[in-house]
Amino acid sequence: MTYCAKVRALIACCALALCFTGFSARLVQLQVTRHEQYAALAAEKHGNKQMLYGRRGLIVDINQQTLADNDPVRNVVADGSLLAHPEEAAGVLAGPLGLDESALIEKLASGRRYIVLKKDVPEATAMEIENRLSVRSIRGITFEQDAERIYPNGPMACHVVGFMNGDHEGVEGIEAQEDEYLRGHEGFRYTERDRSGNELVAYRGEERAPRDGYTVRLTLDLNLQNIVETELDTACAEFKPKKAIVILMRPQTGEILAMANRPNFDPNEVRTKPAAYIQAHEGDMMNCAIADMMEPGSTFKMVTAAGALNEHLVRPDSVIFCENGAYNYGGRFLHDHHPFGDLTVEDILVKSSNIGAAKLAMELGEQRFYGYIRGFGFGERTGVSLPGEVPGLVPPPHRWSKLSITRIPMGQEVAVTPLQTITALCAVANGGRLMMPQIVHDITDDKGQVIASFPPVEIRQVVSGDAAREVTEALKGVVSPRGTAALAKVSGFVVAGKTGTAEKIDPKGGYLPGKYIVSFCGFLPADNPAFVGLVMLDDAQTKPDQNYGGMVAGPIFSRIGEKAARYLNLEPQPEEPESDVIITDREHD
Amino acid sequence: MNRRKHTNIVPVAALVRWVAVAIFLAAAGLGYVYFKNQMQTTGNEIRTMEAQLSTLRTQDDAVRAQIDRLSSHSYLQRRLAEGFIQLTPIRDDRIVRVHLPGSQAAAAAAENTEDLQPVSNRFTAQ
Repeated sequence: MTYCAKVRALIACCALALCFTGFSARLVQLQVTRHEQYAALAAEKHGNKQMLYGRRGLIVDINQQTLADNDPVRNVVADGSLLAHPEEAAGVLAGPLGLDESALIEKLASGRRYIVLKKDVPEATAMEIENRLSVRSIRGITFEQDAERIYPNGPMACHVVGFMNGDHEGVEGIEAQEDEYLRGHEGFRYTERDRSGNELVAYRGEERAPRDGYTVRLTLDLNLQNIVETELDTACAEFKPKKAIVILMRPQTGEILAMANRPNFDPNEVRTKPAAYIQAHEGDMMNCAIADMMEPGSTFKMVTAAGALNEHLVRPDSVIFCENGAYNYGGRFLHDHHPFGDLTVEDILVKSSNIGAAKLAMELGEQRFYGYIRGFGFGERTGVSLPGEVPGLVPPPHRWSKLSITRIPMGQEVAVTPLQTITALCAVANGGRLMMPQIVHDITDDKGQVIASFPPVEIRQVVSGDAAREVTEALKGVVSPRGTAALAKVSGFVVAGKTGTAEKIDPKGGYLPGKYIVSFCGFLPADNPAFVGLVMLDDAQTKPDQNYGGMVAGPIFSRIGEKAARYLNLEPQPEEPESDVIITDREHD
Repeated sequence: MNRRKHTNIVPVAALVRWVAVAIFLAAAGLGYVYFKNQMQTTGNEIRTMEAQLSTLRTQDDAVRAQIDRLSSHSYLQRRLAEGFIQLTPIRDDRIVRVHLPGSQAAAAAAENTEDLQPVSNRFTAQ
């Protein structure tokens, strides 16, 4: 090889070496120095964060009957950057989605990568659209999994179950209270796609599995709830009250077996209504059993009697002079609905004597009486797992007027919730032990494993078992021909209970004439109660001489009690001989 | 001597070595492509299965929601009102209570010859 040839070869080699060095340098620059930048670019172009749907948990009753479930739907989403022909896609989508085609073209042509076209599209419609798009090979339209909350029983137990807003957040009831457990946690997966948009499974990146929400099992029994709702509907048709409340509780555990309010609403319809409608009907959606407070009326006399008996200040057969119906105290007369002379402590409850109750409270004294009121749970939240509970109003003795000691014993000057009233009666039915009302039985995952359970909680022993038994004996007399609630009798069972007929408070001061809140709170069988029930009607439309707790709420309790006893398979007991005499009560003359 | 010195000897060992290297490289290349293809195929199968699973799960949810609707109290009562479901209330005198062992009533029933007694909520005089 000549010298020149060698030089040429050397130059060529050097040129090639330089060239490849240049290529190598460029490769190093692309792969190492600018790796992050190009990886991000590639990820943006072909990568995708796929959300994995976690469904919301169910709400079921004690027998696993569904109260809230999910109906699968799809959200139709478009990726404008992948749509070659927005007009063609709009033509396919507009009809089934019920959207305006020209508006749809405008949306799709915007080129944005995430355009929500329509939410909550039924599964069948989504499948139909998907097939059509597939046939025409249109890319860029995806169907995100979602679910619509449904309440199969409609308005039944609506105030307990609650409802959700459009953002899948619980707003009322258990939906709000247990939202943390019910909410499903979405998962995600980073994926890459090829040129035709298909996922490259081998190149999947970080992944987190979704978790379905937990199932919340309530203490409610839908069969009892159905009995209560049916009777409440009948009562509302008959008396047309402004509000009506019925609660059933198991006294030994504090479990709420049924809870119904009127007016009510269908939670399935709440989402579809405009915000203005919901605002206007906010009152209908309020659970009055826990969020409304009112003067309890004569049902409160059991607190007075229980306190006096527990302190051994009186015995059930102790005689109290009831001033023949008019008692001058503090310069004001306190009246009974009938002029009673001497009454035993038991008869004070049976006949619902205001004067007798006032004298019992005076025997107790302000401080001790206040202690028993608080001891029975009035003036504080019961702790039930429902949102919006109010504590009620029980002023301390230093804020009482001179007349308070005669008014509070008959259920005036205090404000309590219906749930507090029934919880207090549960304590009497349960041998003096006050139990925390419970609405959630347990929380389980999708495999049925218990995540959280809620055993019965005893708050305190309010009165002794003997005092509770003595009050129960007196309350048996209330539901007898000589008591104020003969119509609350349940055939085949001995019922113990107390009526209440409270005048409605006028917001301007004083009481509204002719407006009453009538109630009956009782339990059966009296000696071994299976359930305690409360029936309360606000401003029932009936004849003035019949607007009493014993005559309006009593019969409703009787009908509910009879059906509930049959459902619970309670064994009937011997009945006491009947009498036609019916005495009614009205404590506010 | 010279002839033997200039004879072209086939380097069998080297040839075998290079052929082996070539075969190994070819096999590695083919294996790589084969496994890559397998990954792709399996990936597609996984994707299809996941889609099927998701569809089945969705269908299951939809069917369960439908069952919940159709078995709800309000729906059944509506069907009852429409006359689609015919139910006759059980008369009181047709209700028979089976006494559970150990209950008070069982002890009372044991004294009687009849184990099954028709009862009603309205207590009848003995």
